[in-house]
Amino acid sequence: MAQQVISSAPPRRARGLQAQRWLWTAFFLGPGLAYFAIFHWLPVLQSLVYSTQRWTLLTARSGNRPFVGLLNYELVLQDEVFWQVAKNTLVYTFFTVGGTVLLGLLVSLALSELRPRLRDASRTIIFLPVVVSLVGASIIWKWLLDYSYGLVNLFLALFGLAHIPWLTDTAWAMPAVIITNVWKNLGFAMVIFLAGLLQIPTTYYEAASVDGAGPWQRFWHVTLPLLRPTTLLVTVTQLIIAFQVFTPVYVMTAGGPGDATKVLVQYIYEQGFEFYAMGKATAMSLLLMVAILVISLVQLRLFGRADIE
Amino acid sequence: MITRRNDHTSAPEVARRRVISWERLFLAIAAHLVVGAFVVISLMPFIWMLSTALKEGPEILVVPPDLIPKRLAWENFAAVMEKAPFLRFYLNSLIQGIAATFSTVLIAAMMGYAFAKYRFRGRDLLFLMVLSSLMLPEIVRIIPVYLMITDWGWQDSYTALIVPELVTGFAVFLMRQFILGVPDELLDAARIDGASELRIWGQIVLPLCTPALAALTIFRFNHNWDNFLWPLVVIQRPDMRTVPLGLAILQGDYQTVAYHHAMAATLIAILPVVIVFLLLQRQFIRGIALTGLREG
Repeated sequence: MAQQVISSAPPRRARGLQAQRWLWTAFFLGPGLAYFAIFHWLPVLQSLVYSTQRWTLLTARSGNRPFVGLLNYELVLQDEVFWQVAKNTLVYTFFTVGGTVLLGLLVSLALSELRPRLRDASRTIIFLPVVVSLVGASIIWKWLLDYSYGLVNLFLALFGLAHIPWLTDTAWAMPAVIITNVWKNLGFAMVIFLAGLLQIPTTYYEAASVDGAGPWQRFWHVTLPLLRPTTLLVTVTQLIIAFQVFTPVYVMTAGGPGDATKVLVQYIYEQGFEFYAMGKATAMSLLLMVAILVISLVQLRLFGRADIE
Repeated sequence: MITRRNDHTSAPEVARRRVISWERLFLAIAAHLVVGAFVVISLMPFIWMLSTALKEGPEILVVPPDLIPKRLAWENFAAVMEKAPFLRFYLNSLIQGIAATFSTVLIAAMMGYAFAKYRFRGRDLLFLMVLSSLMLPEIVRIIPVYLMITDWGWQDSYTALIVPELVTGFAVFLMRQFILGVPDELLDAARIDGASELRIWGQIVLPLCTPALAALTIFRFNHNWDNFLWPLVVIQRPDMRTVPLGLAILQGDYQTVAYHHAMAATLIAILPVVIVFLLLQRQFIRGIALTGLREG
């Protein structure tokens, strides 16, 4: 009898423990998973559905939205403005990310040559634009780039250069937005690069010097290969953010002049919230999602899976 | 090290060292010039903002511009506050920022603990699904979530500002990575002593994750304070505007003329963030170096 009790007790207790463990798992994960389900995963499915429906201002609230198959996608791909906007977004992304990464690298290399105290103080100042709100930074730069009274044109005039119609000319508006964002973001790239640079053991450089390597060779053969993972991380995270640019364009140029600086998220916002063409808007947002997914998968490939584990 | 002790250095060796010291000097000068230039470029827009914000209307059109205004026009701030209730915007931003930051840290720490320390079926798949939200563009969520929120009658409320931002995939990822580093033996010892899971989480795991919690708090608050697209979509009532939304709408109203007012408003909007950053800059920069990311 005693033996029976002993032999039956462990399974029951184990079952109790298991139930308890399950409860704790549910307790810690439940609220968060519910949030992700309702506000992340469900919206993707809803977008898929909405993008196959005809939406107009009148039908949006009535729920009477006929299924139209892939018509919205067709409309998007036939839409000249969409291609213009996609091109703008690519141009913006390429130059903003390129400028941010290259200048961030340059500044971090220069900072790494400075004495620690001066380095830390300079780093703080160059980082300052990163924390300032994007709306605020955009308004400041709108004023800096003012045609007649902006500091940038007045500065260029010192060298005899003509005033540039930064925000009112189709050729100059996009560079203006790019300059603003490179100014805002480069401090972020700089901090990550600097952290990477300071981790490279000085013995590597000493060894390279003993072998007769000059500064350029040391940079090319020691620094750059060792910064490769950092560069990839900065580039990919910046790419994902840049693809979704909205605020600086909205504030500085409102997409103009014409559609010269209109970007994808802004076009989706207009179509969805100003014209209630939610079908077309969700179709475009899903295309953007696919683009970002592709970038992220390329990133996974380049980094190797080890980095997420 | 070895050559330094050697007194009998050969002529080529001396020449090589001279080259190196010239090289050093050149590099040092170039580095100082580059850093100096970027310090100026980083600061100048802020100085220009401050200078313009304190000028009288006509003085902003003077060429060449004065750096220091002839008379400090403090009344610009009063004029701006009259046009837009920035104190109310501050309050809205604070409520939204604090609530969303607190919920992010809390939920991410809870989920991170379960993902790092519990074994259950489907764990890796669930974690991957949470991570996938990192690649999900905000705009994809915004349209369906907006329709949901308006269906529930939540527009123009703090709930609408806060609830879609409760936690992020990145925050969960960061907490899981940190909690993975907490030794299992520590948790098992506490379990043998009869501590409940909640207590283990709150009194053992969380204190060991302070750097991650601090980094997350700072990023998330900064990110929320900066949030623009979602408030723009979901807030119509002027008194529910957050600081960036209020600022953007105000400058839209000004059009191009009154830049002294626009700069005064911008200064009001960014000053708290600048002050908080200067106080916490060490933690902020360490947090970025620690996580490699700034998004909360």
